[in-house]
Amino acid sequence: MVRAAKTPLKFGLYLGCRIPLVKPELEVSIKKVLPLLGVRLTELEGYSCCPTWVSIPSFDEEAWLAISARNISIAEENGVDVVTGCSNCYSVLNHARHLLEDEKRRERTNRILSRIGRVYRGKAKIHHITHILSNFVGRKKIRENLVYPLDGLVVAVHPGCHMLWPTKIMDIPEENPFYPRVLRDLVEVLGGKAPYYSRIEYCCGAGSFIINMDYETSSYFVLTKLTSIKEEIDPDFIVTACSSCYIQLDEVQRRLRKEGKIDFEIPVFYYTQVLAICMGIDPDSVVGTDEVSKKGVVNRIVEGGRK
Amino acid sequence: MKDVVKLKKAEIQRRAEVLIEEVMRFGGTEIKRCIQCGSCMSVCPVAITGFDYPNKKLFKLVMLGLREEVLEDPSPWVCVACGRCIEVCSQNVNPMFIYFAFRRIQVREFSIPAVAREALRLVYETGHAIPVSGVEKVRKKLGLPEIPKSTLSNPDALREVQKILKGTDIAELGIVPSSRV
Repeated sequence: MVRAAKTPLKFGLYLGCRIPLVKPELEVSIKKVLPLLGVRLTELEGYSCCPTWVSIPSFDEEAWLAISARNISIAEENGVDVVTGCSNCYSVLNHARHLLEDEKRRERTNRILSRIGRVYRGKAKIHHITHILSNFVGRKKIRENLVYPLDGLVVAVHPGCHMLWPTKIMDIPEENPFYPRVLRDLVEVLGGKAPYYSRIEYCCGAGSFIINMDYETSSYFVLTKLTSIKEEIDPDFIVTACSSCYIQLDEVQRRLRKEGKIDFEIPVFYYTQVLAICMGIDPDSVVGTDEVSKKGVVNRIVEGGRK
Repeated sequence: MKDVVKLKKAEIQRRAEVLIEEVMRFGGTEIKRCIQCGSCMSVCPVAITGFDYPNKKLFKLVMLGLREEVLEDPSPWVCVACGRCIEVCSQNVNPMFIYFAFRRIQVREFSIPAVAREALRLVYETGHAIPVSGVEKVRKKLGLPEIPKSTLSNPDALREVQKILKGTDIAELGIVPSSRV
């Protein structure tokens, strides 16, 4: 467990692609919540795609490491560690960091970066936003800032693959990634119940490619996951920490409903959206227009009454 | 019916060595350590999808030197890069990177899925893997800058990304321009 720092917390915010370009309301929730909890955010200006697994890493290792190293070098210039809300970025950048511990790779990468006047030193760590909340901000601080606690609402937690494996490349790994705790704890801090269910770490099927190659297979993952969630814990809503899973679970769920494969709906939230609402931030500013309406849940949280 | 060609044992071995070397060169550096235990397959989403060659099967083909079998097979592209296989592998094979080695081998044979081609093109042209489509209005309404502070609003930063890509192997594929001579 990393101790909460005494010096003011400061991180470089790396937004990636999906959050700012598809679900900007998640960006709003992150930017509103963290400063209120005492975290100063510097945006990593001029960053590019991490680059996502589908793109450059699938073509060439050398080019991948150079683009990732360039992104990380922007944080190094600012003297900050990186925080990202996108699990894909979290995974790509941490894998790159891990590979760049190898002297040969680092040298080769720095030779490429020298063409653009940059250098990769391997100083900046890459954290996921949930790590900042659980290990740096801490439960106490979150609890102090709650305006509308979840009051026992039942939440199905979906951490998402990229936050969990492989632990060897992460600075803040789960104790047992097959029985993930971090996101469950973060939901419980808000006063919600986050019971274990058998497919808690099951893939959402979005991944980098399944969704584009084969909708049937991809939606099978969501169907399996949702059925398990519904039968085992019948929650009020789902909370995820991955922006890709967030989109997948929401969009495919609506399609499954239309196709008659499920006869229920479970609203999906990104963790900082729920946190923002619980902290009394205007729900309209952090909840967009998604497929499965969040309205009912938002009302229940807010009407649950102030602490 | 397939033509049957009988290969000498030495020839089979030679092909296997060539393919193993190729996979190692493209990032599957630890493939020789695989003992075919199947741990990776027991946790792999690709195995659930029913595509033909989930990891351990793919690795066996490599070790048998059957390059043609997988040259156009989509299985390596189904990997979600979840990293479960890396976690459970007792021999530190880093199985996920063998999938990626195969993608890299396939693209050099111009067997490139449209989604990957498009993602690469977009990263080169904009710095992002997904297109900006009408999000500016939504961002403005939410009180955010219309364009994120990425390569999208910083031409010099985008040029850096392009300069990197133009000087690597990627530029040989005809998707992005090359600065190599």
